[in-house]
Amino acid sequence: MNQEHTTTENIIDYLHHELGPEADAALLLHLKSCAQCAAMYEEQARLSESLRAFARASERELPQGVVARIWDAVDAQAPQPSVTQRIAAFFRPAIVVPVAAVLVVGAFFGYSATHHASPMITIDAAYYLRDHASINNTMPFGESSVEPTSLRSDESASDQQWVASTGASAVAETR
Amino acid sequence: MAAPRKPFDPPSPEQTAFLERAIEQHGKATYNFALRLTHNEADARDLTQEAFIRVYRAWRSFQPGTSFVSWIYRIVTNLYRDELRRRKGRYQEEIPEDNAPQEYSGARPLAVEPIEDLVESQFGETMSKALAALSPDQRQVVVLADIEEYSYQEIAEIVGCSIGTVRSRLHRARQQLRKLVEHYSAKS
Repeated sequence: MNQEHTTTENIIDYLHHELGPEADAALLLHLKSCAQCAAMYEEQARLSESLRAFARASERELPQGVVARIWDAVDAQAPQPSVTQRIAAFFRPAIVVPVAAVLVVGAFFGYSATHHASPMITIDAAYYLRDHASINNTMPFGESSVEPTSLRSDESASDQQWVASTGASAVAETR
Repeated sequence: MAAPRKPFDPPSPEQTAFLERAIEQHGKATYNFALRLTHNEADARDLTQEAFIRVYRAWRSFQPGTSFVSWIYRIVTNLYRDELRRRKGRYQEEIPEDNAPQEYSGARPLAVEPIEDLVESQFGETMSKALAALSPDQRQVVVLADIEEYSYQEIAEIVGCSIGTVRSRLHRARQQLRKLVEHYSAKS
């Protein structure tokens, strides 16, 4: 090795510490004594150093957008719930209670709308105002007429009894 | 080795913590590795994202005591290779494996936003162009051997080939790279 020039391939392997111990030592010795091979070595070493310098100069931080996209993708790949789990989730109280309430109310009104009971007796408002109320007000002894709250009579015992029986005495005492 | 987690298993807190730690400790290195492989920021983002999703899914297959970085670089490498295969028909670009001098044709497969835009120095621009002009396989071994400083054995495991292939690919790549650097230096 000392006498013969080495090859570029050997120098590249030497640079990358890929020669066996003997070959490595022999090439080291040769490079010390051979200017031509030493120049070849320097050239290859410069190339390696240039690559590392370029790598250092062009080094970038990991963009935060990439990190966010990784987690988004991981979340998107989370296993989907089974059919049983979906059914169980559907019947959770937060959904079942309102749905049941809507169904009950809907059933009630639906039944009422489709099954008419006996017609209710109604009084036409116009009739009440025009006829019924006016008739009652003009009949002093009718059932709907206003009763007197008290009657006064000092002469008749029967009147006194009548007053007591109607509670008019209580009114008299408060006065 | 533990059995891989089934896809429909619900995530566990350990799995989430594993991913969180992986992103925190190795997210930057993974992104930069992807950036050097693709020479394109958008592709690097996609590769990094997809790699960490794979890590999340297969977290149980990671063996404690082994290098996490090597593991995720292998994932990135495989994803990148798949993506190149997928795009190969679209771009109709040859991926040279030999040492034939290769001029940049302008039909760069993954470079929409070249990394050279991000590097201010003239030297950085030259090196960036030279690296971008290498074939993906050549660029891969150069990045792993000279920037990441992996051994041939480790590169072979990451890339999925023999040590002999790594050695010959690296030799050709470096010779090619040297010519390209001279070429772009002379141009600038």
